[in-house]
Amino acid sequence: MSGIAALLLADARLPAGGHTQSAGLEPALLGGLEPTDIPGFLRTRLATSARVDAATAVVTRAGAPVEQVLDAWAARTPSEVVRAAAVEAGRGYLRLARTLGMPTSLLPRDTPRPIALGSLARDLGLAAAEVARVAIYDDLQTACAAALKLAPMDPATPVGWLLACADPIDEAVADVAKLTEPQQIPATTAPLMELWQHAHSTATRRLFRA
Amino acid sequence: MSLTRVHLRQDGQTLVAGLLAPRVLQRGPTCLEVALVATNATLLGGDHVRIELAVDAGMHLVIRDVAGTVAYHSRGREAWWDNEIDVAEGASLVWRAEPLVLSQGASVRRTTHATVAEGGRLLMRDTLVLGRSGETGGDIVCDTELTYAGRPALVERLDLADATLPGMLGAHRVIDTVTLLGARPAATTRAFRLAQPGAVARAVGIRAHDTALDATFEEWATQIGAQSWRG
Repeated sequence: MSGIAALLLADARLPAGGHTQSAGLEPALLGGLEPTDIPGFLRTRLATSARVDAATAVVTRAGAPVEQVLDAWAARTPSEVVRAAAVEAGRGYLRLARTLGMPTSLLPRDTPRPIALGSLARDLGLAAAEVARVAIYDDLQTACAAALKLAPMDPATPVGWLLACADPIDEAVADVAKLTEPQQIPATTAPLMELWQHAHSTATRRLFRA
Repeated sequence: MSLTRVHLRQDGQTLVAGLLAPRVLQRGPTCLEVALVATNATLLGGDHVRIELAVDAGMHLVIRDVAGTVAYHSRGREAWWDNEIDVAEGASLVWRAEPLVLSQGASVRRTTHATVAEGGRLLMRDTLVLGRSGETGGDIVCDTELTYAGRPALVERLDLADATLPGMLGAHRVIDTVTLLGARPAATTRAFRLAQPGAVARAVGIRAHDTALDATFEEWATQIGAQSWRG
């Protein structure tokens, strides 16, 4: 099953509500990030929040107690705005799991996206590296797709940005795939990005939820 | 390693002097105010400063830094700074820390571990300044791990080696943070609300002392009753 499952989870056509997200890019552009800095922004996410969330998904998939994973993730996600956006994004996965009768549907309603994703990956039989790659790819590709709506450009351009991240993505996948315990989840932070995302709930004129 | 230790108990206190020496400023029945005074040039490459602050149940400790700290060019050797904080049930610790300035060529690894028991309160300030006037500044990696009532409340690695990366600090040279554990602040204060009882107010700026977090620090100090401890 995992052969198509990993593709399914990374597919924007999966009805899980991914189109409402910009992976922090809209808050960043509203906060003053220059469109020319988007490739660097992707590197920052890869080193910080995307890595934290991927590790959270990996540890969930490995079977760590969900309450402990939730505490560990929340302690690494200090902004309540960012946590609420992740819970909203998690709901799409829970809804999917409920309809398909998967164990993930038993998780609490306020389960954030990385834990819902890790749990779904477990239900679908994904390997640790697969869920890590899906989580990171989805985060960066979400920002790339949002870039087209927020700063119009040739649609091929963001594809090039993502491909330029291929090697560092592989390194990040290898780093987080071996984790099994909640306290091992990395906690690297990007202060400005966090402040931008935190301000987004009060921003007027926004296309994306987060 | 140079150990500085302040342990406030119901029946007295233990003070241990290292590169920073504790000096008692004020003492009350349940409270103690201590200044940390630099006894030597700090922070140099190869220095290892360790600060231990412990407050027993029901007691209140206020720590003041007398001056900011400058981390000098480390000549290829890292400097280490570890903060170990232990706040018991019903106890409080307020740390009025002054800025840490990272000179060009400085390389600092800092850890801050705090264990706050249920009903304990911790309020602390952390201001990092990248570079003295005209410098781009040194490197620092700060690992922070705070627990409240046995659960992780804040875990963070702030790696400012590539501070200019988009979304890190950008053109800002100062990152100022006020952290509160054991109480939830008023809804009007701009801050991150932690999942555990507590909050983090953070601001970035161009110069130290221009980030407007002084007011937040005082507001939270008032909220946890710091004014009532004296005398």
